[in-house]
Amino acid sequence: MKAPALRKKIETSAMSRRSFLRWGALVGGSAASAGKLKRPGRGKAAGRPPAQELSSDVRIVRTGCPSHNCGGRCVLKVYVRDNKVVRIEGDDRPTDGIEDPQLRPCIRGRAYRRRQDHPDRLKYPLKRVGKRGEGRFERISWDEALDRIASEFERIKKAYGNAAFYVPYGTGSYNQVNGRQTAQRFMNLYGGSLGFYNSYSWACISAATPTVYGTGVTGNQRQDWLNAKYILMWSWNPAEMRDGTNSEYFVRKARERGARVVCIDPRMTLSAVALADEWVPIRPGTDAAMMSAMAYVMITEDLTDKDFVRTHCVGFDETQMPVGSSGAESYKDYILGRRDGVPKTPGWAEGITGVPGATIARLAREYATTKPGVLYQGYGMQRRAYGEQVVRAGCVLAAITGNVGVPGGWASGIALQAPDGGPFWLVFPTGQNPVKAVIPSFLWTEAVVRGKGMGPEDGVTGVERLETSIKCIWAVACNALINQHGNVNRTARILADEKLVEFLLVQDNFLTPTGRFADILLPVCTQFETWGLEDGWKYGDEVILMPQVVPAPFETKSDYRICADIAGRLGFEEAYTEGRDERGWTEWALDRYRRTRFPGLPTLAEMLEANRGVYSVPVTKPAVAFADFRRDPQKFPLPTPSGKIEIFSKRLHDLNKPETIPAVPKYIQEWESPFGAEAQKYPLQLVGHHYLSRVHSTLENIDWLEEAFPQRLFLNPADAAARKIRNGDPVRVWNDRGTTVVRCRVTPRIMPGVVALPQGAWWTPDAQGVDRRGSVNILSSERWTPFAFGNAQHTIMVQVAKAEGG
Amino acid sequence: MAWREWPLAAFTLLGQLATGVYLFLVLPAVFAAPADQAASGRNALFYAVAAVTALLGVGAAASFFHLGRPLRAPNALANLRTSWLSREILFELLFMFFLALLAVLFWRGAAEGTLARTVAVLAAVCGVLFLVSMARLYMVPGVPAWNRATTPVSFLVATVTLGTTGGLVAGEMASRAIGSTEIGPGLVSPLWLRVLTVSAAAVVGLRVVGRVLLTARRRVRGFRIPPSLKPAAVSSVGAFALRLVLWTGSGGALVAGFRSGLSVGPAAPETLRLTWVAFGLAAAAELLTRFEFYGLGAGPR
Amino acid sequence: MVRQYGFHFNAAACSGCKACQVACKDHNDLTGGIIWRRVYEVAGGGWEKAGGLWVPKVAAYNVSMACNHCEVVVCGLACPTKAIWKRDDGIVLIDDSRCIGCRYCEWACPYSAIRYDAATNLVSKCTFCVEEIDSGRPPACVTSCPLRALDFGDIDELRKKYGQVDRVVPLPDPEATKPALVITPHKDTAEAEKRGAEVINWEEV
Repeated sequence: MKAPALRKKIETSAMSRRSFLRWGALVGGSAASAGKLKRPGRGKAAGRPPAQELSSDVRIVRTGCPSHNCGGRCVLKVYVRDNKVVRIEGDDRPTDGIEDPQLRPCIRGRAYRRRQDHPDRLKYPLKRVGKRGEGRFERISWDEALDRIASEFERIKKAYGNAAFYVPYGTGSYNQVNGRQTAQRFMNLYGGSLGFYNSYSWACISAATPTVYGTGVTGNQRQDWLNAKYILMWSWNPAEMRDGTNSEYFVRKARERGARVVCIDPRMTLSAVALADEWVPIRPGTDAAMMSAMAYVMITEDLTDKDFVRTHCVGFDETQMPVGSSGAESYKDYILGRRDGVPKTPGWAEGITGVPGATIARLAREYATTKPGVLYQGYGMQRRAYGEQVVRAGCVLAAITGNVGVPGGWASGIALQAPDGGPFWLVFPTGQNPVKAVIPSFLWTEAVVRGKGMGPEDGVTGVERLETSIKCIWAVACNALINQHGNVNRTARILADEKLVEFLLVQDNFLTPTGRFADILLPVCTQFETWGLEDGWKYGDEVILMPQVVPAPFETKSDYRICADIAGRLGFEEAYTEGRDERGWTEWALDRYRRTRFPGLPTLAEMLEANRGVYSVPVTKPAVAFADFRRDPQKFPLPTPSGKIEIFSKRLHDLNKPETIPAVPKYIQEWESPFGAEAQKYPLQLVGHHYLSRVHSTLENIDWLEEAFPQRLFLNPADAAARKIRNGDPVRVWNDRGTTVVRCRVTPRIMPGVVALPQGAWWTPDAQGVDRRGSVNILSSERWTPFAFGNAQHTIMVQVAKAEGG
Repeated sequence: MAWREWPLAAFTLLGQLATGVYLFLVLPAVFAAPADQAASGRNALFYAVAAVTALLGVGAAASFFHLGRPLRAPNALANLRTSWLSREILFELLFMFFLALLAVLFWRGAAEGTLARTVAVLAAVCGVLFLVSMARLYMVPGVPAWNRATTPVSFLVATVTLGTTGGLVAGEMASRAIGSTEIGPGLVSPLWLRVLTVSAAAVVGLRVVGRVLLTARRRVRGFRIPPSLKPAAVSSVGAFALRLVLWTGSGGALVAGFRSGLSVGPAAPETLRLTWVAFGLAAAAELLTRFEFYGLGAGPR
Repeated sequence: MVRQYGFHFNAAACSGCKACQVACKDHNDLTGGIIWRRVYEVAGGGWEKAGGLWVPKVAAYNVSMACNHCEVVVCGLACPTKAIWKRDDGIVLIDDSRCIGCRYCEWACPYSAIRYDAATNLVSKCTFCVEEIDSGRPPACVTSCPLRALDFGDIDELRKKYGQVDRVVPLPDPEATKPALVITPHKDTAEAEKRGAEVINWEEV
């Protein structure tokens, strides 16, 4: 029994039962029951004591997960003791079938206690001391705050008129009675304010989809996906960004029923891992090129649905150009390169997209022949320069493959839920805005700096020219002024100038980067601490009641109450409240829903009694968008000028901007791309993806979320090795607009040439102005897209290097 | 380098040092001592045994710093049936008990040679079982890098290294305690000192050669440790090189000491100093080795 | 009477969203960095240049792992104070009143299930939500999963329903502890193993 035998013996049996038996026998006591460790004789109850054993003083309330802009609307089961939330569980309805699945919260809803009880929550009204942007405040009373606000409002109204007021786009809360709509109602009663249209989420896709279909209601109810045989998840990552609660679960179910799922994304996302049969990485901003090449294959290999194109579309080729546009470039002209001499072959697209031509061709064939198929367009690929093009291109692919108006198909585009556009049924009455001027939501800094005189060339609608710049901003549930807007350094300079925006009022739960610029900062209670009502997020057929669960602490108030109090100072509280408080409006909204969409909806009292939280309508026969149009395009025309699917849009053609707003969808090289001169200095494309540790910039400061998903710059091993960067190193990321230093994660789940920095991290500049938290908007641009006037916030080129010290 | 495991590094190293010194110096000395020792006065043996006991005590005290609830330490003897950790503690306590008994016997002069020898053997058995338990307890499935023959082998080698080099130092100190300027009188014969010195040099030399060969073999053949859900340890090239240097230095000191008559008759102060150098360098290398060992067991953050 | 409670983890459906991790934390009030159910991100392979293009040869999946309440309770066998014990239904628990915080069990467990809590100076681990089980309800993690990738029950029943796989890379050899665990492997498991799959999110677990 020399060395080898001994080694083998020890290696294989080091802690095995056999060896225990041997030694155990030596020492005494049979080790035969080695696997059955009995309960020790003394000692307390088993294990770490459960958090709280349910006792009679614990109240259970089923409510909605506080509505932020997360992409889900889920049910929480909240346990309350002594007016404190002590545990949170999810939807515990007894059934979980496809027609009405449980609305299970994600990691953020499950961690909500850490936000609810966060020590940094704002408690009292604050007034700025020092210069704007320094973030130094002193506590004041509500009286003083309201007086100051009222007097500033009156001053600005008198000096500049109501069009100088602006309640910016902000989605930190929105659930009927919480969020910016409460302030918009105020403003509309007060004489109005500058309005905005579109959003930071969907500017391009919401503007471009109707140019093809005449409407944004292009999506089926999601249970219909189970009828699909092919699902192309293009820039779509529902498992991570949550695009309607359960969307990823529906895709899983579709796959189990035999659908082939392909993810096209520069990152191997959570969805790609969980749901896809194949992951195809693609350079950001080049999706329209790949789509064009797919069309090329379909056209040249005769894979299009010719009949459908003939009867339901216009502009596909020269035989069906709209009246007044014959002779203009058709889609087929563009794809085959008849006018520009560049056939959009897979080989051509390969050089642009980084996707092998053979793969593009194969996917084209697969999507065209595996029917019915879903081409789902996510939002990352449209939140870019020329994002309008990729939206149109995707819709056109769905059209020419005949996947419109059939079960298991998908018309693509923004896909608001059929039949009526889906949730976000905001019923809280904001009234009519007496001010007619409306700007694109992303151009508010322009309206601050040079608003007076801005016109249609900057997307202004409602009036010819703006009469005034923005002089007063009231940010409700909004961190989009500083943190979420492009080019933070620029915005900070603009807002710091007190001669531009003369009064900046912010109300929020925390002192956010936007809050740091407030003149008055008001503490808002959380949605557990007031009443509310939410429906689905984009998809779904449910209503979730959100009763007040615990009292509002310290001097916090709800958004609604703050508006009512300011209205009180200005003499129109009665008109504002109509005699209702938050609960009253919640009941009012329930009644509205009952009358307009959910006839079976119980009363408020009944819902509270039942304590179910959610009222949902099972979907047994999912609605399919354009089913009627498909059946009979003459009888049920689309709301487009031609009544048909506009592959060629005369409306766009007549704008006469073919380079940036072509009439057919085209690939246009972005103004910051790997192919321009800027790539010499900044060779890496940066995407700021949605991350599960936050909802945009909400939940930034939650320990359980940060430990699960720490803020990191994600980069490929090849890019890291070339820069001598190792996993976990602090890295510096920069371009001409700013610099951030953040730790990195080296991962093969992203393509070389692309880096990713999750969006929403709070801007945290050091003394030199270098951000230390990985705030992506220090690097993004304020430039907007040509047609939708939307944010191109993912079009960013950067360089990365190892940071010194860090 | 798992510096945070310093209490366990101290405990295991001091335990191995104490046991090694006991086995290589004290036990032979007990059997070499004449049956009828002077009835009065302490002798070198007492000091040697006291030293060993003290080392164990310090190690045990250090180990308390590892515990989350040190006041509950007595609980640790509860699972002799299956836990090598319980057994390790039991054998260490028994070892210390017999050592204390031995110390008392030697303080009063070894009245009965047989009694002393019996107790000495009992202590030796407990000491060996203590070290066996110590090695075995590390061989858990949760740390595959420990769950191999290299663990007991390296513990054995550490014991021999520390026991021989430390034995020389302990012998010198014990002799000095009774006023002698040599190593040995009242303890062990010059021959045995020579054996100790040569053994120490041999084992230290073996460390250098063995470590280089093993590392080369690992480089060439690759080294697959079975997986566990814990991150792989990162080994330090600097520490590796340093250990080689230290062992070489220790070996050199031993050789020099041997040649300058370490083992023969009165020892010159320089020679005595060399034993300290030899021990110090070897102990330092052992310390580094032990911290790297604990680094292999690094668990979650 | 359940012989041995265990978990089923569907790696083919798991996105790595960590709802299970945080549901567990909320249920058990785990602060201070203690995580009982961890989600390991596993990836193997890399990228190759083919004709000027970067082509991925990457296989990736996730492993959600709490405590496997193993049939060979190596943690309990190692524990010097007998603080770790196994119920008749197989659930393994730690008795806080006996634990001395020596962390030996933490070393012994090849699944890294046991965590030392600097706030209590004791170790802790997944309890299979015993108080829920004893009230006839599921563990917190199981019902939390948005992709329904977790199940629980008698391991014999789970094995009948889901198969016999109890190890995928990077999990250790199940022969050592006989975990009460069934896994439905991700489609890329074999590919990942071939390409040297390893955990790539150590700092999160």
